[in-house]
Amino acid sequence: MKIQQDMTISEKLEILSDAAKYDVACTSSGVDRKNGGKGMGNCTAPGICHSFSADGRCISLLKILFTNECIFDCKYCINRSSNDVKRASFTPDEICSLTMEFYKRNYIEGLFLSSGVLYTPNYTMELIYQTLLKLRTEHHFMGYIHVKAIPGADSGLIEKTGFLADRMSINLELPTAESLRILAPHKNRNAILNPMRQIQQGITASRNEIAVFRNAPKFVPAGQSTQMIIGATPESDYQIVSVAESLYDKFSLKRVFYSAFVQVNEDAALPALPGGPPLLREHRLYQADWLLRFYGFKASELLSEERPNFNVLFDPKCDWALRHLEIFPVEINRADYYTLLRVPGIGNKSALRIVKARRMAVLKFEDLQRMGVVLKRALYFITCSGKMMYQTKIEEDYIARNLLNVKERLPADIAGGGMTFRQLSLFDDVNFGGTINGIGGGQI
Amino acid sequence: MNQKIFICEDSLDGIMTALHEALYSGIDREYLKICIGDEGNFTLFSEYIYVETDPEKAEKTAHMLRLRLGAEGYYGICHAAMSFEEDKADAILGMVMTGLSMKDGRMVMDHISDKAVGRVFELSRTVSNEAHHHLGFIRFRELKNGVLLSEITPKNDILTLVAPHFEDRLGCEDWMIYDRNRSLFAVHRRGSRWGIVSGETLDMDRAAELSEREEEFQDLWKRFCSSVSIRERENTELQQQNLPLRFRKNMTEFE
Ligand code: SF4
Repeated sequence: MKIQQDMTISEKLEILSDAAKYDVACTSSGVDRKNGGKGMGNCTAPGICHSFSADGRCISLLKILFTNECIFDCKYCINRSSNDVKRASFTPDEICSLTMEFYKRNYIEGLFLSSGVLYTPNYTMELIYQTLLKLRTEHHFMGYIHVKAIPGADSGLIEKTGFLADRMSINLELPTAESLRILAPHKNRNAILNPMRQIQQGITASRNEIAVFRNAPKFVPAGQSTQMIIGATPESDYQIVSVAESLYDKFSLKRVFYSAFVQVNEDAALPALPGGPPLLREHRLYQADWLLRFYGFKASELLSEERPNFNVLFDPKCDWALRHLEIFPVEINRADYYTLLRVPGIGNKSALRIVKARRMAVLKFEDLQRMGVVLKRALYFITCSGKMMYQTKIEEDYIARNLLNVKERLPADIAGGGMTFRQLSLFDDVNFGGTINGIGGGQI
Repeated sequence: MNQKIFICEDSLDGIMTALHEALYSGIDREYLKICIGDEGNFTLFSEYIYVETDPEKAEKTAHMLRLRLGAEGYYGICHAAMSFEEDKADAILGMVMTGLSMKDGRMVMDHISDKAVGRVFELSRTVSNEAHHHLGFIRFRELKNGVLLSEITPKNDILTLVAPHFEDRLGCEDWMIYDRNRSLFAVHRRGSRWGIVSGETLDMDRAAELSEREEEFQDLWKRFCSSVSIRERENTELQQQNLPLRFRKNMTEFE
């Protein structure tokens, strides 16, 4: 392990932001906090993107590791102990200074602090806690803080830290315990799920307290998230989506992030991915995740043991609609909100607009366009006043063929051979802009 | 009948005054029009009326609209009025007339199938989106005297939409946001309220005098932005889709 002495802050920043970049979560969403005249900073619930890096991802937080010196040897990780890479560690004061100065210039919404495991999980967690404590109490920083809980750290430390952070996350890393055992021999599923449960219970307890005492301290007010690496292990999409579903249902997670595996180490236990990171697959998972969270879909409606992987050609909602043609076409002027949501080309915003606008007037196809409906896709599935837009057959092959001619608004470049990835808008109507945050979601 | 065209100043008060005159004229919608500034091509058989901005009439109209069209309708009007599009005043007139003719005008913004309402909706959304983008894309630099200065070049007149956010966020700082396209400043002194200053220009020399560590932090930020990107996923097309070039000329990391 190379530990450089006397590094400048600039060298450290380069090493420790480079080492943090594979963590995909960079949202600053989930909490509204006014400043109210003290210190610096506030938070807005939808989050704010401050820049976009050359890979097209949103930069919202100062995303860094406290240290990349790590005693663990996770096979997929660039910082694993057996790798010969440059190592560096910040001091709490250096992190405070970077955060405050960046924030003041409106470069960032706040800090995303993660870390390798330096000496022991507790030692590392304590350093993270000290950093947050300084930021909140000495610098009176009121901006957003997302912090990682280190697997294996004491629950007391995690709790103290949670009262200073807005969001906490602990990475699931891989969808199954078996995969974790193979690729991350120093971690185990329980050391991940236990603190996840603890944070969940902390959040519930804190909400209950706030309901009684308005000024009770808030524990992780923006909720908890996690991340899974996609494509490093053999799980199917169905397995992954089912894991995500139970994380939402059983652990009340705010977000599950999916990270297409990037091959940074040569290791016999890792798959070779000649096509680069599986970005289309990651994209489909984000779309499905969106359907779970906002559209009332269940994992079992999207995939099954018999059809365990997403369709390469169609997004999960289109794919579902093509398999359920018996419920279509639906009448725009009558169908309820949840039925509208199931129509390809109608997102949650446009569905809401339709429900409101049809109280004022009978809606026609040209009105729908203005409400953000993507008619090219929706037209096979809807009627306005009993009429379809064109003469079309309600037949799977026919519609599928026509939909294939309408290019899916795929993230720039996934469509062409060069597979890449995009940050998707939280709103259904991408055309109209709106808050761009988080990774994933998007118009379906 | 001849068309009557009311010509007003490009400001919320100007548009509100013109609305007042137009609504009280008793003329039908199809013969009424409001234009900002000079109507380029004078049409035959049209009557042009120049409206002098009158804060009192403007306030009266605004008050009436807040009551009759509710907060949503009123904000729709205010945001649309900040748009750079030329047809905004006439779209607002149409939307107001639709709203006033409804049983409950507070539902007016739901009536998107009405052409004028649809247009106001669209204008207001574009303006809010641009304002929202600026909340993230605005960059301050620290001057020698401690003031944080930002220069922006927005399409729409969004200063009053972004200033409250920074007042709350940077309440203990002195800061200034300068809209170069309109020569307008939003100015904030620590501990007091923000305000708009017009008719001044930026003192270029003082704006170039940076604080001692300013360049160091600019440099750290640039380094961060480039090292946080994943090379295997590089996609400048996507970057451009999310962060259009027009914003970049005012952003530190793209200098
Ligand atoms: S614990 Fe594992 S994933 Fe985290 S830094 Fe260490 S080696 Fe990497």
